[in-house]
Amino acid sequence: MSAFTVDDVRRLAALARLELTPDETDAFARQLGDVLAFATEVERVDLTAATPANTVPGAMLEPQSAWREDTLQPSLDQTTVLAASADADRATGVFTVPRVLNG
Amino acid sequence: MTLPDAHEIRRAVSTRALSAVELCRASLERISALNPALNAFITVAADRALERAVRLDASADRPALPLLGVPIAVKDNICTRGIRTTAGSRVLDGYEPPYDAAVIERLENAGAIVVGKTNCDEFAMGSSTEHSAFGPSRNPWSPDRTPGGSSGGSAVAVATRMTPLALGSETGGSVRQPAALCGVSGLKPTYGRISRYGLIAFSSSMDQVGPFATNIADLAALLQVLAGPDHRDSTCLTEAPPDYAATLDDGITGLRVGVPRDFLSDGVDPGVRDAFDVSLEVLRAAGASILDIDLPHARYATPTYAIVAMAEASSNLGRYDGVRFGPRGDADTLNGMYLRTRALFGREVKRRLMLGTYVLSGGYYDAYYVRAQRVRALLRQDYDRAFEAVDVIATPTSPTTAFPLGARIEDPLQMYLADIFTTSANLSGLPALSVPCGFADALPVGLQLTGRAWDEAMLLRVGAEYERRTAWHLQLPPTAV
Repeated sequence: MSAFTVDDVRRLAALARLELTPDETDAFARQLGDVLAFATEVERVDLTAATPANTVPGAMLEPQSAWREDTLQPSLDQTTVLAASADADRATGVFTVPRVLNG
Repeated sequence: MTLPDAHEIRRAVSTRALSAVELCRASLERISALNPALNAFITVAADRALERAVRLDASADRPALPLLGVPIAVKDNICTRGIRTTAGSRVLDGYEPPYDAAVIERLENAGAIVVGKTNCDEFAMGSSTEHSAFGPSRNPWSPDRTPGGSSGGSAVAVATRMTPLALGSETGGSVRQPAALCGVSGLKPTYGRISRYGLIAFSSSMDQVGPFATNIADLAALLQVLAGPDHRDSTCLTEAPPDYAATLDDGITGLRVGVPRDFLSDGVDPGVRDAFDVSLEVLRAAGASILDIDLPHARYATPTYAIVAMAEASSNLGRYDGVRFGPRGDADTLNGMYLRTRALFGREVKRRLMLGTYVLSGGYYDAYYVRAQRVRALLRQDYDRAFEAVDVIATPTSPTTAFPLGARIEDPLQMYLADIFTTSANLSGLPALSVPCGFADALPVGLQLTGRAWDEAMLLRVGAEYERRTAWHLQLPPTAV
């Protein structure tokens, strides 16, 4: 895709759970296509010499090893974690959110 | 007064020539004097810093601590327990993390004192510190210009000697580029050298914490403290780092320095190119040989970087939904709450999350993300081949000097091109250093040195030799004299 319409931008914003101002919607319709066209330069690369699998820096950078014994480590307690939330029920130990199901 | 460097501070405090409290006050006073004009700090933690200084002055084991009494500024995307941590975003305004990042624990165990949190582009997405919800930082060499970014506040703090040391973070050049534009030294360590635990995630396969300092000896001392294993970051190297100070004075006789001439052929400002060419002569005079090398895929680094960084960001920033931390948007429905909360993101973050969502969506994933990952492998192969013939690779850090505030803010492509020489190291995981190498039109220029994986010691050794033969790192910006 080389150009984004205002409707494309709205659809993408809904997927990304982003609320855009009218100003942002207009600006993105103009800008996203340019940035994407720039990113599309990667299509010009000959990939025959590239490893077929996705590259993960951890695997690229020997002698790195991520393995360790599966032993319990201390972590934050529930009260501390809930305290950072805008709305949590400390008594039952849950985060509270608006109703999901009606009825 | 300008603050002495970290080595001098440590010496003064350990011999009790000065107290940690006196030096902490000096740093805080300098921040009070300079910050209103430069906006380097989002939060100054004066009381907490002074309390720590008092405790350090009273403690018995103080003389052995490697950063005893050294004030340090920390980028605001690194979690500090009980100190507001915003990542430059309204989505985290007022957030006080319940834990310290691994690097903060290490700093405090080493006797350093965190004096505040520095300004940055929102979630480290930017190259100018203008995409901060707390206003732009200003370049101390020319306050109408950007200090670079995203770790602009940290670079400004060190350039003006508000603190002798600072932490930034790198995803595509966010330590090296502001270091270059502000005239200080900055290092992007090998991916995995420093724990990312408590570094707010942007692009997890590239993010690294990186140190800033006014000289290489201080930079090495700070890296020594930050580096090392941490079970809380599974990508963190399990081996201890070497002794960086031990090889700083080894010189560079016989060292082979590679220059990717083709890659540098266009887009570099003449003043930057001149300073770079002169810096190569300095390395040659120090006994190094300068060799041409080829990095055929380096020209694709910035578009490849854009795809990888945006894709990973759209995944990582899914966590900002108003449920567990930060402010919550008011709405009757769950989806409405997500939308209202995420409306707090700034424009650049929204732009990247949109494109990240796009390149990861069905039908496009292979064409963009998978393809970018394979280009990434080719780029790494370029470097592996080059490092068979040379020991370090030299380029300018940034193609231009500091640009005017506002010049690129609504032109994302121009902004991304600021990172043209820095993103390769992040994509390939390699370490890279920026050191001050001169001026163009009274604005600082940085020399970038890229090394083999895990060989930060080599970069520091070259940087130290370069610094012995030049005085660029001693220049103070006019706003800080």
